Amino acid sequence: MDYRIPEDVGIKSVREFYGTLKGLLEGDETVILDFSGLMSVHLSVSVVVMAAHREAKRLGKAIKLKNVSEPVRRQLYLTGFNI
Amino acid sequence: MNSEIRDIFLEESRETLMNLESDIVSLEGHFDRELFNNIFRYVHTLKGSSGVAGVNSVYEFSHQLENLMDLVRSERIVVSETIIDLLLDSLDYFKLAIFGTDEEIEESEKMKEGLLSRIFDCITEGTGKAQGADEKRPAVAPARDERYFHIHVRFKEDIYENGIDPLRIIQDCCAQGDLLERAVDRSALPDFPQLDPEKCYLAWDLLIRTEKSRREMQDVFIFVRDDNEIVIEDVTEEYVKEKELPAADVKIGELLMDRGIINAEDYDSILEAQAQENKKFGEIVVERGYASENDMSRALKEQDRMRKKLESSTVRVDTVKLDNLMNLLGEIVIGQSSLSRIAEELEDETEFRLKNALHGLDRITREFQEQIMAIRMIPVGPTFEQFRRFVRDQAKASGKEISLVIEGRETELDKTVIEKIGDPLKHMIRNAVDHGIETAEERKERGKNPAGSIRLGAYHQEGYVYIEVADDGRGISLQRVREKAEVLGFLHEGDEASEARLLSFLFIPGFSTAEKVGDLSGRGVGMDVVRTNIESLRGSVEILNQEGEGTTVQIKLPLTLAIIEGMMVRVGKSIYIIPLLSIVESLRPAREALKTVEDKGEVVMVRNEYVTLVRLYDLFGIPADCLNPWEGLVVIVESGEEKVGILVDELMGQQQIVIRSLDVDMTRSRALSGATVLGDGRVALIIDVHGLVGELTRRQA
Repeated sequence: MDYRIPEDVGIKSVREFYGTLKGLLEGDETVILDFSGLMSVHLSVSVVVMAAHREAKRLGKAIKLKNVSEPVRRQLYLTGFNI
Repeated sequence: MNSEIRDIFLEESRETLMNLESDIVSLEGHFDRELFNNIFRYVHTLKGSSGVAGVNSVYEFSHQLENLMDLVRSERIVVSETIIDLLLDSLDYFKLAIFGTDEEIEESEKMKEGLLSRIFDCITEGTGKAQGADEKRPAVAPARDERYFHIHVRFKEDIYENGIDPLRIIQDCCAQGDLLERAVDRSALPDFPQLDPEKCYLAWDLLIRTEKSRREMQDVFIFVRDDNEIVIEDVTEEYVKEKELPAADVKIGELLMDRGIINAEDYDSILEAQAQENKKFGEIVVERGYASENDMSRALKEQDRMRKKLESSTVRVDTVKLDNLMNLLGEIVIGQSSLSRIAEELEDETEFRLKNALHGLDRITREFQEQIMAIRMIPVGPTFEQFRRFVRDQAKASGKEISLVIEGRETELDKTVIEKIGDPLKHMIRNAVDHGIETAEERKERGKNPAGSIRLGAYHQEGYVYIEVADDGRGISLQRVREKAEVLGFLHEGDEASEARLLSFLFIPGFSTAEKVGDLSGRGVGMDVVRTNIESLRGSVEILNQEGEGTTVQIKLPLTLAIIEGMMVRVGKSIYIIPLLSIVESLRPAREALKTVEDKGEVVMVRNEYVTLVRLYDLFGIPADCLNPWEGLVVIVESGEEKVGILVDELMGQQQIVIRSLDVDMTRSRALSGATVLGDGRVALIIDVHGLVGELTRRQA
């Protein structure tokens, strides 16, 4: 299932984002995170995505990323996410 | 002040100021960060040594100058002409304050006041920045040393509560240079279900290659450094194994400043604390948090490595000791000659054995001589560099734009020669600036670059060192030289005179003075003095002229002044030495080969060429066995383009000659350059071929 990450996701909304992703992971085999419109992410968001990715792998599921802008790709790389 | 400390201080300061001058002038028009760092280090060294020597005035001034330079280093002030002028004037102050007479030192104090006020203005008004728009700024980004930093960062878990996004800080950090390695420690990151998204669990280890200093890297973390785990280590050494070593011993404080770990202010404050607390420099650095223990240990290791390398590769030797060594070698050469003579008088087998042994000794002595000569040889670079300032000042004073190009700075020359060429070079360069190079307007009219150029070059060729001062100015007007020569009576109207002969007039004393007054071409001012100085070094001077295009004054110098290969010749009971390098051939001329030619006097015809004959017995007023050339031998010698035949009774063989200088009263004849002691204890005079030829040319002229 595709989930478009809100453009204003940040530290204030990270808990909500975490909850959403948790719900998605419980349901779908593959979760597609759409980063359209995002030019930057907060570390907390990036960490949630990374932890979710690790969890999906552990569960035999998958989290895929799409429409990742170059600045966000760089941020994810610095967070330890190899994409 | 302890005289020993004072001597060391004076010696060190002389060297430091010489380097300082050269670097400051080089900085003009071409800002180079490394060069500026060198200048800073020299000022810092001067401050340190003046402090130790108790020259407080210099110490205090250096400190203020350092403050200004620190602002340039941190790019808060741009290097401008104002700053360079200030640095050069500060240099003049240092010279007066350190080497001046009592009166000059007093004068230097007044000078210091003015300079301090200018430093203050630069600091407060940021002169460089204010004038930056009008002045030359570096066309390219200044080259800086690349450094490698290992940065370990672990933020506290609740850092988000402070409104800080650690990712931004990591990004800022990486933007300081090239990120070579990044490792993210996720070991503290809980599994997804247990994750608290509002907590930070990560730690980073980054390897960054950057031109930034450690201090600048620390500044990235300025808002988080207090309660987070931030460790910045300079690991350059591990990544750059072969770094250039500095030319002098490195103090740990200077090394830390170089690495950007501390600045000049920190350095002074640590020194003060060190004096009060009796602690090691490094301890205070660590206590104050300027560097970690690891950093300190790494810096100390690097310092140790540099010291060891320096200790094992160089040693400072008093030049007097070198001179003594050369003199002692001279005595050995003389002793060797004595033994050779004794060998001649022995029985067959003993003679053979002794000669054999002496042959081996001769080989070793020659090697020994070469080694000592090699020690005495120093590159001409530093001497040449001193002229950058001179050219700059002279050009400024004459309203011309002139650049000095230095070539062959690594060419080596005997230290005694180098010490003596400074004045002649200055003379020639002044001539080139004042009279050789045209004004910008004149140059434009002639289709030349408005900025003139002077080339100061050196190279080795055939056992000699050549030094050239070449300008791209107007050259010498031969017509005007000729007119002047006729006015002074050296030439009659209609006389034929080659270019070489016309140019040789420029070396005649008085000719040059007349030129100056009459503004002939401006050339030749003091050229007689130049020639006298160069010939005293057994060298020669030649002028190569291209009218309208420029002039090159070429100096030819022997590699060493101390020992030469010479041919012993006998005239009556006297022995003379002719330097082997000047001898072309020796012959016994036929009676018919002798002629007398107008303007040349007595000549010998050698292969269709007239060579002036010199009778040594006549020249020196001594008895001789052979009064007729066809009974004796004529040694043909050469100096520049000129050849001369010297009539002698007999050739006695060649040998190494140790040159001893003669008393001034004995050397009125320019045909003699010195004397030597022979194996049997007799003294032989050494013929100065350049002087001899020059004297004849002058007589003929």
